[in-house]
Amino acid sequence: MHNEKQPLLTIENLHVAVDDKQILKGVDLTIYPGEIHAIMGPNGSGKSTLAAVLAGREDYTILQGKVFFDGKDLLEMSPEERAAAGLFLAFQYPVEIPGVSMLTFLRTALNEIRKSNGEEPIDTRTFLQMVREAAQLLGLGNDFLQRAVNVGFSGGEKKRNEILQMAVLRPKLAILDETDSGLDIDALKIVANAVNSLFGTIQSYLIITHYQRLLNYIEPDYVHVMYDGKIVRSGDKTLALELEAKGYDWLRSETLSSIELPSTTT
Amino acid sequence: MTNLQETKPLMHLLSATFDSLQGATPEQLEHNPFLQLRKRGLDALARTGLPTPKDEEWKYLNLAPYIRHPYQLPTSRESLPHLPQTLPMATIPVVFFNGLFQPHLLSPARGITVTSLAQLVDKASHDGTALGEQEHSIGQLLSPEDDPFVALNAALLHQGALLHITQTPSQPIYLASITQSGHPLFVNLRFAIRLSAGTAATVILDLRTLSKTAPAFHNIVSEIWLETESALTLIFLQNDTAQNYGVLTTRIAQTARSRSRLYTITAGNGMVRNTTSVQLNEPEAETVLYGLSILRDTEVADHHTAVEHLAPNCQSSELYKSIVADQATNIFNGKIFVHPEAQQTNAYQSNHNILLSDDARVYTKPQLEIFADDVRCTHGATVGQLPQEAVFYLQTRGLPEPVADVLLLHAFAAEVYEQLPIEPLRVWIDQQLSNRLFDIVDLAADRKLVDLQFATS
Ligand SMILES: Nc1ncnc2c1ncn2[C@@H]1O[C@H](COP(=O)(O)OP(=O)(O)O)[C@@H](O)[C@H]1O
Ligand SMILES: [Mg+2]
Repeated sequence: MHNEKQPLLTIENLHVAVDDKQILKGVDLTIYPGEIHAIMGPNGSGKSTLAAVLAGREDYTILQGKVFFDGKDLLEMSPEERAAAGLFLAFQYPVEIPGVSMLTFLRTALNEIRKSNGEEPIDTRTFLQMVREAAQLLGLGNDFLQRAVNVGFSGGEKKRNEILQMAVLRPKLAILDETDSGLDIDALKIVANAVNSLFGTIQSYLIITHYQRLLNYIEPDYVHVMYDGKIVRSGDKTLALELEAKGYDWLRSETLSSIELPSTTT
Repeated sequence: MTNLQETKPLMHLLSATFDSLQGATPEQLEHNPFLQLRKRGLDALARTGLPTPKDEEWKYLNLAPYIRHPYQLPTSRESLPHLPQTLPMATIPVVFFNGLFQPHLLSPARGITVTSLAQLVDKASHDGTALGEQEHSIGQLLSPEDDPFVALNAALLHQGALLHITQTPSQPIYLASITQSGHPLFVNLRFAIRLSAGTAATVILDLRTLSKTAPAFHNIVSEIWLETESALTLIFLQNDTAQNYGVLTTRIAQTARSRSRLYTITAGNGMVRNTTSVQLNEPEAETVLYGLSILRDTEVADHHTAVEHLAPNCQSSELYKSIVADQATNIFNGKIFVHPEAQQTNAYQSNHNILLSDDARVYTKPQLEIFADDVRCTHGATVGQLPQEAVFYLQTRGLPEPVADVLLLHAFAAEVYEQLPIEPLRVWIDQQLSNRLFDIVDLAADRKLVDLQFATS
């Protein structure tokens, strides 16, 4: 169905190390506009590393491989250039910014992105309306916008705040790194509803999750399983249910005995 | 001059003092407290000389490069025609230009009496008129024997002002030392400030140059008395230019339920030493000391604070922060003394520093001496870099690295002055400091953030 279109994200044979320790060992993934992909996998398999490398964190060494985003060589771009190009990462562990209010933060971010794209700064009224709508969408009050970024936020508020930022910045591709963990069922529904309602404006999602739970609310087109730095299986949403039923141990034994193991260069 | 060697830095400034003391009769000396103070200053200096890094209290500040210039004492009778529009609001200006009082800039303001010290000193030496109580207070809080710069200030005692606040003034008092001189100038000023019971006042002490000039060295000694239930906000502005140096020695003596709040903003003057002490002499007195240094090039800021808790139920809190770039140096030494009678003391101190380069230096030292047992006292000091996690987080939201840096540095700095009560002044300070941060991270002025605003406003 998507052969006519250009892929939004293409990851080819990506090998990544940190401090001489290899973490990603050959990841391939292609995401077309209009698709929702999920990556599942046990703790420590490299999901957050993949997300961080895509967002442009510097501590990682790219050993091998290529990544294209919207036709551009992503690995050549600074994190802010990636943001301006339409890539967004909802952090697994959002960072506290003492002394910087949500409003200042969101407005600075939005205007920097607009500036990079040759647009004028947003006017105050439109901006306020936009962030208030976004806050409402996430079930957060206006007073939330006066608080310092992530400072004193509960775990759930931090996660909702990531999605709030996504709603304001409207990227092309949003990577959600375990946005569901730490959310109670009501918050999970709110987040899922926000993600679904923004789908369209946001062309594609890459949803990283440890559990199948979130995928009950956000239906992926593809589910990938990451294990030991590689995508060892891909399938449709039923793969998530299978994983949920059998657990990651099943995967471990399957994978280790399976010839599906992608070949590695090391 | 007996033990004072004129060849040593600054000592040539003392010859006039020496001559006038030589010429004074014992009667003159006995009746003229200013002359006595000068003599004590001279004697103390002869004993100790100016401080060097060998003195514990001056360990990290080498004064040599700043005092070596061929400074002259004020001579010109040239006056400043009108007050430069530095600050964004109306003030009561008590201005010294090239070291000399500018009475014509001062218009009478209700609730405040301003007396020129030079006038009093001259009068006393001519006719030996009996002095009022307040004039006698000069030198009561800070003794020449305690500190070499107080000694130097006493030896050169002439210019300065006595401010007596008897009713709450409607505007801040702008105590400014403004210079514009082709040759190195030594400005020696002495202030005595008294707040009557129940009054509140804001005093801004500003060191300012009008255009690029030869070095100006300020030696300013301020003695401040807060009577019962009075409240002082004291703001030191030290955000001028690299050739503007200052040693400011300040002591605040507080009586019952009085409050003092000090803001020291150091961001531009080449060298500043602030020796600030607060004595909480009676119950329920409070002091808050805020200090912010944003330093670059080879600027040096040295903040020595001492808070003395001498009575029960007093509170002190200190927040000093620094952002230090290039080869600049920030020094913080914070002493807290809690005397045995000062039960139920609350004393807090924190000092946080961000280093922006490998050559930047920060020295921080808390010194607590607690002799009462019912005391709550906390202190903490940190020295670090910009948090890279936060910078990355901001970058992923589209902020170029320098913009992210400025946003974080600004937030770090603003905590110090975001409570500053005069809004236009706070906004002005914020703009000055933001511009400096833009410069430091090398961000072109047109990249200014749309809304670097206070998180609280
Ligand atoms: N900055 C880092 N330094 C050292 N090891 C790291 C770093 N980041 C991740 N790792 C290691 O890489 C592996 C993958 O981690 P991560 O990507 O967080 O996995 P996941 O998100 O799938 O749980 C783990 O073994 C983790 O300890
Ligand atoms: Mg993870």
